[in-house]
Amino acid sequence: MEFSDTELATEAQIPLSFRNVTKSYGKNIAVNGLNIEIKNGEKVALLGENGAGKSTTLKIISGLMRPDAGSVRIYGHLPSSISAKKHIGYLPEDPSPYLNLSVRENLEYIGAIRQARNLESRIDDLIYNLQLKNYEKQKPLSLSRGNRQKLCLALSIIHEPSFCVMDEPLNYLDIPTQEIIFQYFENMNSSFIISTHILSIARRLTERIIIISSGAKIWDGKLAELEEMGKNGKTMENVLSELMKNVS
Amino acid sequence: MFLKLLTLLIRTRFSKSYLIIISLVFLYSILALWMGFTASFFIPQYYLGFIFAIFLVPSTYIGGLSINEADRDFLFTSAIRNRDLIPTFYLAQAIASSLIFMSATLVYLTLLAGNLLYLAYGIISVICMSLLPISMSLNMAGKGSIMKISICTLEFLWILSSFFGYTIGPISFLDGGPGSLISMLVLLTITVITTSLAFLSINAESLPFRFYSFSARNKDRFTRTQKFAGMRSEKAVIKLNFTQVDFTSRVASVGNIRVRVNRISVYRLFVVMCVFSAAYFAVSFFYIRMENFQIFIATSYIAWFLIIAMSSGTMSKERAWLSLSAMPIESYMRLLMISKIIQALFVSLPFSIVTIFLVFEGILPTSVPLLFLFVVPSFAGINFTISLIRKPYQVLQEDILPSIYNSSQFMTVPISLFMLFFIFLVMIYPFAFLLLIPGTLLVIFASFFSRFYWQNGIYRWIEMGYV
Repeated sequence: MEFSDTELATEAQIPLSFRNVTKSYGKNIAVNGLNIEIKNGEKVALLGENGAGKSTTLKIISGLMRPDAGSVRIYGHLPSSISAKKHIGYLPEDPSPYLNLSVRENLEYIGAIRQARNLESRIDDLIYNLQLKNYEKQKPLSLSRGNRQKLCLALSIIHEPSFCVMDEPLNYLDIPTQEIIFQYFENMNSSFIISTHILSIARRLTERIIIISSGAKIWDGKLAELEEMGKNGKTMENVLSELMKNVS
Repeated sequence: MFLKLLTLLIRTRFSKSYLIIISLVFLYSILALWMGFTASFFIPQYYLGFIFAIFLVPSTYIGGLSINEADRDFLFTSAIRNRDLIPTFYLAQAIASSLIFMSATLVYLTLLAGNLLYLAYGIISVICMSLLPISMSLNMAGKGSIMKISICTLEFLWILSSFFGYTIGPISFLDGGPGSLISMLVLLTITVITTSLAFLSINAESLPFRFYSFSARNKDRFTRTQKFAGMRSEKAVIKLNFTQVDFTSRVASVGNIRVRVNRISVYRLFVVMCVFSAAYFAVSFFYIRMENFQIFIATSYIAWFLIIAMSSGTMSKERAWLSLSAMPIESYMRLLMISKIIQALFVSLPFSIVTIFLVFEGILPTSVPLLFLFVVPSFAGINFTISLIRKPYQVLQEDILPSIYNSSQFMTVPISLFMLFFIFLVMIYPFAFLLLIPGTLLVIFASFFSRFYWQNGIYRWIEMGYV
């Protein structure tokens, strides 16, 4: 796909340009001509039923997977390029830290690889804010699932990325811990795209919602617009279910 | 910073217990030398050839430097160039590979100690042998099966050529004669070319890594739907666990010993065993006679392999918590053991029949069918019991070894060696199989009277997050 100079210059300014992207696994089309654009500082939730193509979309954005067709740019760079990866903080669904390294060692290792600035103080900050102080010398296998998820969250943002790509970031976390994460994310200046099944997370963390079904976008708008649609005695969950049902 | 990074990277590849393994391997080599196993030229040659083959051939076939989930999740999403990452990976895996390879083989170089020149050839050869599998795996990443199989065959023939006296063979340097130089030069040339090609082939877009997770792979699609409706729960448990074989495979590759559970249908395995036993019969009947020691060794290894393969995989993916809601834990475990013993008996049946026939023909000693009719199923049950007991240490930790090698894994080595010893004993003294009775009693005891062990054990596993 050819782009004009103006388009290229615009792309270089925005965290994500995802145009007409298609990705298939054999005969199964996971992402079908999907278009997403995220502006600086924008926080977006990607919603969709199971198997809608959310995780595949995030993997393509983070450069772990290449699309069959279409164009993806992170601040104007290919997702697999070093320039793009410097900007991205990716948290996969069910992430796994290094099981041989302690919590602090994991952070040191990934922090060193990602050339995080002021690494020691950054690690101290993350450990303090995510309440991992009591576990910093422990290895991941001895942690609870929630604490392991917190460690992985810390790993994904250790280099202070300007664009966070997160797949179900609050999995396994209890409510008080979720509150800590909400507050932490709210104070971050980064742009976000978060995949989730849980509407309350989307409501709390983001201002724009994209709904996908069978790999294609079926709705894209502000959270307030979605709330508006749900005013006639319908909950937002009802509205979302109807939107998805109408497509499938 | 570089050293710190490298140290941490190496630590992500293998743990402290890896050193224990290296020490034990080294100890084994010294003991073998001390006990005079090396008095015969062929013993170290077999040993070295075997180790080289299990490092080289699977590396070639699998292709790619092995990575784990954490690498995938956090390393490959980092802003680090492949060109920088791969040499560090290569170095870390070369260190891991070389340490275990050299500890296993360097002792045998003392056979060449009489001539310093030949010793130097030997050292260079061993270094090349530990690096070649890693380089080869880099080259083979993403290549087609036909190419991989062709190269694996060539490698196999190359290793085999040493045993037929060809000096170009990689193990031929051990003969300490003028052929050592040729053997070393061939090995060195292949290693240099392969390593150079590997590094030339790396570019920003290629990812010569092979993701390895500890997941059970279904080899068979199990397209024939099994019917459980209307069955008693006990019968359903036996049917399911008899039908599917969890076949553990361990291959040494690029510094890691990879463990994988392959789930296949027992009927397909039975067909494979029929073909295999027919080939065994043909070779034994037409080419090899009883006086030939090789058939004796081969038969014992087949029996040994069957025991290990049929008994060690199941619990690694067993969802024992199913039992909590379905039936009393001890009943579930008992049924699981019974189904595995029947399964081992069923799978080794073609060998039982073939060996009985060979006994009548006077080709094999009368003891051999006993191996397949009694020893294999009994030991499969005993080993299965042991694998249940060590389960808490096994699950989750077995994805990439020895990167996260647990020393409890090593417990199985003496048990496994004891089984091999016992198989030899039965082949020499048929009535030794009666000694299996205590072992079988152990299985019965474990399955019928260990109610509290299973109950406490499973709850403990659950508490530890293993099931």
